[in-house]
Amino acid sequence: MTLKHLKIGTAMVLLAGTPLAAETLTISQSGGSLQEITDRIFNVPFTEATGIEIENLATTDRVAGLQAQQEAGNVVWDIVELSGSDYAIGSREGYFLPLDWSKLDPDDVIPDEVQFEFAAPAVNFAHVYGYREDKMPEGKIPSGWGDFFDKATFPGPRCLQDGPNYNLEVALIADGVDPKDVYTVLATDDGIDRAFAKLDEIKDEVTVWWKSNGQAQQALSDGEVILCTNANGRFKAIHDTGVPVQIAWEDGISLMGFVAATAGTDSPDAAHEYIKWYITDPGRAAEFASIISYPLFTRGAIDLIPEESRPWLPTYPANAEKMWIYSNEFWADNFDDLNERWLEWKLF
Amino acid sequence: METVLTGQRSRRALPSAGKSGRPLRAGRHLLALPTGILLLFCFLVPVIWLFSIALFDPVFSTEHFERLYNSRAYSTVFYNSVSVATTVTLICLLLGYPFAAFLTFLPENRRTPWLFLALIPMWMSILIRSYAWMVVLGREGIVNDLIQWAGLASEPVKLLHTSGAVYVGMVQILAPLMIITCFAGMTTIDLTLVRAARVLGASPRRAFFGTFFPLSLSGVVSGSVVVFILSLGFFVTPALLGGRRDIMVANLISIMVEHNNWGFAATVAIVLLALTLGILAGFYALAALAKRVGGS
Repeated sequence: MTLKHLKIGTAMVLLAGTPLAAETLTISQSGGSLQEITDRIFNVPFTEATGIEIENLATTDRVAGLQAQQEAGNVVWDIVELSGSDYAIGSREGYFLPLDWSKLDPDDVIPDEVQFEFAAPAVNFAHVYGYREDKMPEGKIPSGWGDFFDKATFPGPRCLQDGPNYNLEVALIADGVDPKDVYTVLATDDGIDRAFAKLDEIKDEVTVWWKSNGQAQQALSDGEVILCTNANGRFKAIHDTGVPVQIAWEDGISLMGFVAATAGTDSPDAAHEYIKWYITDPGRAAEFASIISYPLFTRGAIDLIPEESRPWLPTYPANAEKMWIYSNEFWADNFDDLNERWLEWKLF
Repeated sequence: METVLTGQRSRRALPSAGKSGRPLRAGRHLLALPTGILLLFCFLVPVIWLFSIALFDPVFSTEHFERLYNSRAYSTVFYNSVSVATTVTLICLLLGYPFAAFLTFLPENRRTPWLFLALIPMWMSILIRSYAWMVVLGREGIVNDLIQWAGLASEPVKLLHTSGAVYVGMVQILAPLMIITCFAGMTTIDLTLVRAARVLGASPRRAFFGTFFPLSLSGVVSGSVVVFILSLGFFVTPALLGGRRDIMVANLISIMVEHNNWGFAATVAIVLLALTLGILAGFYALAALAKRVGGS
């Protein structure tokens, strides 16, 4: 809480400053080591090509910053990069500029379903499960969430993320619900009961409830578990160390990061120009994805990525067609209540 | 009682400077100023803020407190945390006290290597030590390999992701603190008292429990308080080494913060703070009572 207020405080101090010249875009991106890559591939070439300077104010608490700026009526950030839940909250609060997709994507390289009103899609990643090839029963390969829950065919310890999100959805899918109906079913009390009842079946088989991606990565690579959920890039990292791990892509959960322009920005045109630069060039997208294995949605980028890396990406056509999209809105509305139920389920 | 009084009197008589017998009378409050300012702005102000977030979100309501009070899950998590903290404190005490006493009875020039050994683990980050325990205790870890090699079990034994693993991980991290705190208290004990008791005919056990042990209790109290409070706020180790039910209050707070529920997170934090202060007050009252009973 202190942190939140400190950050709002910092934002307030920034707000007191003079407005920046129109030829500068202020961007709030991730910071850290990822920022160096983003700067090198996207930001520096953007300034060289357009003459628009980029000033980066890295922060992790975007929603608090946006709130402070909107309330003070002085918007410092022109562009923000967002997580799914940041986007869900921020778009509801009206913190973002509606985007003009005819300007952003004239060549139609971004799939229609991710052309959002208030944000463009940034990185694409998947919540999937991986399995240890060497510990599967002879001649059997798990596919789909039903197999994750099938402890008779695939005996052995499992690992799931610690929280209701993802797990309630995949439990329903394992119980026969079509992925496209998952959130409709989950919106009912019966649907919630059904999901928990399905989870009951493997309650004792799940020996690790992971709190961080690194923890899950270690559990699978140490042989602590034989089936384990994680973000797709983690399985590639395990595989690269020589541990025989594969991803079961069937009904994987597609997730994404977002990039948005702020409501009240002084430079809406430059902001559109930047977002276009960021998301529509296959060459830059491929270079980025070959480093971090979470690609952008840009069509054609996959063909420019080294062939052996492609099957590990959620945008690889054979994988992409198996995925369904996670609802940040559903969880923004329901997390608190379902998390309480989740705690009870775990404890008792 | 009498010995305590004379002890105080002689201590007062010691400093010869200053009429009142207290050195640095005029300026002594200044010594507390830097820490005082730090505590005011980095502790007291945030705690008041915390209260306001818990009670005004955005208008005044006791909704968060009611929710906490009415849920079986949250009270169980609080109970878990207190129980883990108590167990860890007791284990640390059982391991740390004898070792600290051992250090105290060593000649001063031979203490350093032993103290060094006890403190080495503190040089590594908690995160790294917790991950290391995952490697040691895992299904395919060193301990399980040994057990199976020795023929004690044919299948991997579940060691990791149990409450036992949480205790092991936390004790390893906190035992050094118990050792130093107990040891610091013990170094102030005049060891000639033990010798005097022996000379006067007490058995070694009687001499130890009649002189050294009661005088070492203030260190035990401080050590236990430090370990207990730190245990209550533990987060990383239970998350990495614990099982399904090993949920601590700190884990709860972190989940709430991640999901933008500041009001409820603040409420949980305040209740934890109040609970800690309450337990401490009870503990000190008990310690004071024990001292009075022991003194008379």
